Amino acid sequence: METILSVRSLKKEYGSRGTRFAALHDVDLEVQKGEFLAVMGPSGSGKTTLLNLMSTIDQATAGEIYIDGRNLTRMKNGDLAKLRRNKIGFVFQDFNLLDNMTIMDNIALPLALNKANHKEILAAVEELAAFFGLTDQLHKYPYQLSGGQKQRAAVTRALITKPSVVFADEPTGALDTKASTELLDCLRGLKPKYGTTVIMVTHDAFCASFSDRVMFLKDGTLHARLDSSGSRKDFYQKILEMLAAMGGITNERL
Amino acid sequence: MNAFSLALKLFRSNVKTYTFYIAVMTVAVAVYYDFMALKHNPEVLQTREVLLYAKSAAQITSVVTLIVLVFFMWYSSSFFLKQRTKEIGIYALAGISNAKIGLVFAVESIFIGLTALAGGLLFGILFSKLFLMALAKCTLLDVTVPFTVPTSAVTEVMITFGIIFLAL
Ligand SMILES: Nc1ncnc2c1ncn2[C@@H]1O[C@H](COP(=O)(O)OP(=O)(O)OP(=O)(O)O)[C@@H](O)[C@H]1O
Ligand SMILES: [Mg+2]
Repeated sequence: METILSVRSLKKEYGSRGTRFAALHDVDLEVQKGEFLAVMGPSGSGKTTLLNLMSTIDQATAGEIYIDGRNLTRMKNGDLAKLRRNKIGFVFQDFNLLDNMTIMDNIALPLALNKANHKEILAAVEELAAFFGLTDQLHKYPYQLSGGQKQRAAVTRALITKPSVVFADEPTGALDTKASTELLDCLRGLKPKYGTTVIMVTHDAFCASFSDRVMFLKDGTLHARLDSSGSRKDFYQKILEMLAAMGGITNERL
Repeated sequence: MNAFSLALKLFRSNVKTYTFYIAVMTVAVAVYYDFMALKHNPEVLQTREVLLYAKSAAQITSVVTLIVLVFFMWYSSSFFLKQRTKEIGIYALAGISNAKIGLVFAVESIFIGLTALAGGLLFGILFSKLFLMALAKCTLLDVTVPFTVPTSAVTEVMITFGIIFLAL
């Protein structure tokens, strides 16, 4: 197995002098190529903070992050932009699609910079859109799509540059169970087809149970981990037990 | 796709958002042109009385128009920028460098500026005769106004707005 992302003694402090507090501390993490990792934890435990650091959106106070062997914490802005362009995809809770462009243009946007020609872009978009069941939606505008379709379009856009890692912060936060299931099944199907690593933040045990592994954050540090045995139902049960043991979280989809 | 074609694409998909903005600018350019046309109109210039007050009135009005316009453009540019932070964020996440994002937006506003300038000149020229006739009537001057397109007026409008667009 090949390590795609590793995090060493990561620390993030917020606030100015006097009122500093560590939103994240002593985090060590290794993620294998193609792994589907879920990050769980109570509200305010630092999930978004961790994801933002790993995905180059924010900068760590101390510690190191390596993506594909390259140290993020030592990179210049230009190199970070290049890394984002070639290695990283992003998905957010609120889709972040541009309202005045068709789904097709939205998805193709990240390719706008790569010198790929029009035909190649078209072919790439059509192939991925088919994988996410969006073929019939390509020429519509975001407001004409359901939440589930919009989120799948956002994931398609994140994948269009064939990134090594996709970061998703509560991607199912605005979706119902059915749309969530469709999306998560697609995310799970990425590994065999494209070898993409997915790191997803969620506070929902049902969503987390689709992953290969769950890391639990508590008070800004990693508290526990659980590995899937293959059966989603068993995994779901184990996650619920872990959450109960950690205390404070109840599942919304029981 | 390079920055230029991306900007062109954005401009096309954003035309609706900009319709109002472009319309106001077009009108402003047209009005400004008409005053310039008055200032540079050879017929009007020959009338001695006009020199006394109409010319200075035209000057004052054009300055006022210009000030209002600059304020409007400055205000709406920052308004659009706020509206488009989402867009900028998406580009940044797609790994487009800040310099390139800036370039895309700059090219896009040049498109907008050129559209407004061309439209404004067109309308200004179309209505200039009407405008001058109305003015002659109002000021009870007895001049027949021929339809002319003073190139000096066109040039002045282009230079003025060229500077404004570049500055914003
Ligand atoms: N920009 C910031 N400035 C100051 N404090 C922040 C900032 N962002 C987050 N925090 C704090 O850091 C802690 C961790 O926040 P974070 O957003 O990572 O939590 P989370 O696990 O994603 O929570 P949620 O489940 O509610 O999204 C919180 O106490 C939060 O108040
Ligand atoms: Mg969060």
